[in-house]
Amino acid sequence: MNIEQIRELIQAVCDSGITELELERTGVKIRIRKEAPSSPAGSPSVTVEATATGIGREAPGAAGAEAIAGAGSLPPEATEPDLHVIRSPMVGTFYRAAKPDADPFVQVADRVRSGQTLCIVEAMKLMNEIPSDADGEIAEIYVNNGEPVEYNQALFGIRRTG
Amino acid sequence: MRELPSSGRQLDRLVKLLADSPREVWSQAELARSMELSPARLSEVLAMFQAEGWPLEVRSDQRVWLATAADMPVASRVRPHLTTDRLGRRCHHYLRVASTNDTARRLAEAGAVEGTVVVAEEQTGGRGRLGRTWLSRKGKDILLSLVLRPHVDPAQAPGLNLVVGLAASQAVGEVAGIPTDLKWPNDVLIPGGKCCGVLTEMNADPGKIHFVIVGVGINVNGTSLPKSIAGQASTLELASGGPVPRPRLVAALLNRLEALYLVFLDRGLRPLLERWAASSSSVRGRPVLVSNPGRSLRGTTAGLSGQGALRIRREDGRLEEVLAGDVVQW
Repeated sequence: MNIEQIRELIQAVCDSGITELELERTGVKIRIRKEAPSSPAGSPSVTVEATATGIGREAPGAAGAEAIAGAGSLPPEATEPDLHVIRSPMVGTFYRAAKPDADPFVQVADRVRSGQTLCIVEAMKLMNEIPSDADGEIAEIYVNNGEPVEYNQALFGIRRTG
Repeated sequence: MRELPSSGRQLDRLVKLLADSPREVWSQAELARSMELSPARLSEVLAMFQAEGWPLEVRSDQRVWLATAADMPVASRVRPHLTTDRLGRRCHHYLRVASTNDTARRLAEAGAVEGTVVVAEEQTGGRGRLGRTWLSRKGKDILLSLVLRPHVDPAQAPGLNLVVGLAASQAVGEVAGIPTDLKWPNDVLIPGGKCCGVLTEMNADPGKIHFVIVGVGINVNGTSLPKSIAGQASTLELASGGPVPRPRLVAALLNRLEALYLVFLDRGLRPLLERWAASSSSVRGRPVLVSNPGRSLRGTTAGLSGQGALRIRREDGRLEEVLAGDVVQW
């Protein structure tokens, strides 16, 4: 199940009269719960809960992660507590390398320093190089190359050092 | 031919004297004195300059001048046409750089003020989106990067790209006198193909933009293009039937951009969206394919969102907003 499918599911729940949807597929269980439309903008807030039930994504520690956000927002994130999370400052497309055939800026387990470029988020041909704001080790990369990202979406989890 | 960086600096010095000073004809003794070079070293530098294809003319009295000086977008030739307060008031001209965006970024990191401009006659590593190559022809094109420090939220910054595209299309129309058409997000099309591309790079923390580097490439003079792009690209000279003065075009670009940029800073993208859409024949009702790595989308264009994203009406009737990708028309 990819982000696009989850996004469509959330949209489907938003657009429908149902308030809760639970789905299990390829080792991932997803529950989308809609609350009464109480936010100022009138859009219902949606809770997405994802649980790894077998193969697929590892979820050490807590059995699941919860993200509360406006409609259309995403995805399961942060598995290890205390990770320093780097988030996207804008909506766009996530790139792990400066060009398609180049090496990624960083890999899991790489040591990074504050200020080092981790990825690029592109929107309307504006390339935003996202720097790390902490020294540490890349513990998680939450998004795949070329996927769309939302504002404030978690991109990297960094295990701080020093 | 690769020469040492110090030679590159000497060539830039030479061009500054020949093209960016009130005097046009120089005796070699005066050049050697001004550049603090021995006469023998100056001869080497002049030979190198000529070997690179620059039309350095040596008169019978041994005085030299540069035949194309008037068309070089150097500070003193751009400035008379500038009406800006900020943009282009500092202008650095280079014969050759890897990429004007990289040079501008180094200047920005060293504290360059907003509006600082880098122009080059040649790029050895010109870039487009996703690391694609931007081809240029030495001494014929505009290769320009601009340092901006907008006080807006980073999330609003992509809108800047529509502003730059609109400014470039206005400037091309004004100086070359030819019809222009915008292709989302910021390509400028003229009869015959694309003449201008924009690549913007931002350096920001969440919540604060440190600087934005706006890179603009315009195919200006000459009537031949590299084979690989000849079918899709064109030059202003090809479309207008005559050479276009580059210093005036640089100034027009900066003049138009500053006017639109001030609106953008003050009131955001919204007041500019209508003007942008009015300058684009393809923003509504055009069947398109938007291609991204691993994903493509077919539909019909349906205008711009408030953020400047391209709206696409899919074949199943759903409306999608596109923020990135190559828009391919069929």
